[in-house]
Amino acid sequence: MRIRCALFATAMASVVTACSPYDFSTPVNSLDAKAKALDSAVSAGHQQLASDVSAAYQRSLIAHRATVVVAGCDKVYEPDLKVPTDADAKVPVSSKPDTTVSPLPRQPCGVYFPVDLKNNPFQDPAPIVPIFAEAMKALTDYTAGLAAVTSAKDRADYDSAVSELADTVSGLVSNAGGQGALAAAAIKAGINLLGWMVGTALDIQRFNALKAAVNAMNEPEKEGKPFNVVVMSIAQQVNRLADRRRRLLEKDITALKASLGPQIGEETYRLRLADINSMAAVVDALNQASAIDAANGLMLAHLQLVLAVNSPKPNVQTLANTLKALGEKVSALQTALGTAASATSSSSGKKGS
Amino acid sequence: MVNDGKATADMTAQAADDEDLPTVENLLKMRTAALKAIGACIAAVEELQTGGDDPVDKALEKLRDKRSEIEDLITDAIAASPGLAAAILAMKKAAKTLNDTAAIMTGVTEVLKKIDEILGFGNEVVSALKSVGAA
Repeated sequence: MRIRCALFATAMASVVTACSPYDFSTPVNSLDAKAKALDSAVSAGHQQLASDVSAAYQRSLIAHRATVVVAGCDKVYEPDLKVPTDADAKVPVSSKPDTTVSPLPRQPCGVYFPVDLKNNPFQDPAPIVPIFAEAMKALTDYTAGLAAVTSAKDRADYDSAVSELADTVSGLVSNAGGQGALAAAAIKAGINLLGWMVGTALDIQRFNALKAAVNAMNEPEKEGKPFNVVVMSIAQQVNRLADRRRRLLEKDITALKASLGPQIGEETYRLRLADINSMAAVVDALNQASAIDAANGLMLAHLQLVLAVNSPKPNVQTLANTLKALGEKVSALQTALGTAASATSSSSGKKGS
Repeated sequence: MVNDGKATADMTAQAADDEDLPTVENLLKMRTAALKAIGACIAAVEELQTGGDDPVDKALEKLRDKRSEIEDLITDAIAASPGLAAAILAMKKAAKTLNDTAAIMTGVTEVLKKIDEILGFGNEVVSALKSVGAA
C-alpha cells in the first residue's frame, strides 16, 4: 500500500511537472485580453458610427442654413424598478454577459430638420446582426474560460486554505492535551500531503480540460476550425463597421472638398480644410487598421496555444511574442474604430456658401 | 434571412449540411480579391481628378458604393453560414466545460475555508475552556 501511494505521488508529480495548467496562465490571460479588445473594437466602432452620423447631420444643417426644430428632449430614461430577490443576489457577477455590444441607437435631444422628424431618420446605420453578437459573446466566454482554468491564483488560494486548515486542525489536536501534542505534527503533515494530492489531481483535471477545449476548437470541420470560423466572422463584422464609417466620412469629405475655392472667405476655407483633414485622418487610420490582421494574429496565437498544450516541452515564449504583436494590432484597430472625426461646427458642405 | 436581425446560432445550425455553401474562409478570400480589384479601379480614377466639384467624384462614389455592397454581401453570407452557427455552439460548450472545471477547485477552496472557520471556532472554545479550568 505504501509503495502504491509513493508511486501515485511520483506519477502525479511527474505529470504535473510536464503539464501544469498554470504554465499557460500569462499567455492565456493575454489571449483573453485580446479577444475582449476585439469585442470592444466592435462596440466602439458601432458607437462611433452613430456619432459620425450625428456629426454629418450637423454639417448638413449648417450647409443648408436650415430652419430647425428641437426634439427628443423629453425622452427621459426611466428603467423599471427591480427590487432584487435572494435568487438575484446569488447570481455571481462574472456569469453575466461580458460582451460589450452597444445598445440600439436612439434619437438624442437635439436640433433637426422638421422633415426628418416625420420621416424618422434615426436608424442604426450598421446594426450588429444577432449571430455576430453571439459569436463575440462565445469568443470572450471561451477565452475567459481558458483564463479561469489556468488561473494560478486559484491554486495559491487552495494551497493557502489547505495550509490554514492543517494549522487549525493540528492546533485543535494539540489543545486537546495528552497524546494530542505528539499527534498534531503528524496530522498537520497528513493534511498537507492529502491537500497536495487533491490539489495535484485538480490541476491534472484542469490541464485535461484546457487540452480538450483547445483541441476541440482546433478540430478541422468541413467549414473550418471552430475557433477560426468565429474569429473570422467577428473580423467581418468589424470590416463592415469600418466600411460604414469610411463611407460616411468620404461622402462628407467629397461634399466639403467641392466647396473649397476662391469664392469663399479665408476663414471659412480654413475651417473646411481643417474638417477635411480631420476626417481624412480618421479614414486613413481606418484604412491602415485591419480587422483581418487582428484575426490572423488571434488565430495564430490560438494555434500556438494548441501546439504548446499538446507538447511535452511547451514553447510559451513563441506564443507570448505572437500575443505581443497581436496586442499592437488590436489596439490600433480599437483606436481607429473608436476615434472621433472631430469637425468644427462652423463648417459647411454647401457649395459656394 | 440575415438582415432581418433574427438569425441566431440555433436557427442556422439546423441548416448545416443542407447546402454546399462556401466556407467563411473562402468568403473572406473572395472579399479580399474583390476589394483589391475595386481598390485598383479607385486608384486609377483618382488620378483623373481636377479638383473642386469634380465630375470624377460620381465615378468614385459608385466604386465606393460597390465596395460597401461587397462588405454587406459577405457579412450577410457569413451570418447565414451553418459553419458559423456550429462553431459558436462548439465554442459555447467548450467555455462551459472550462468554467465548470475551474469552479471545482475554487469550490473546494471555499469548503476548506468554511471547515477551517468552524474548526477555528472550536479551537477558540477549547482554549477558552482550558483557561477557565486553569483559573
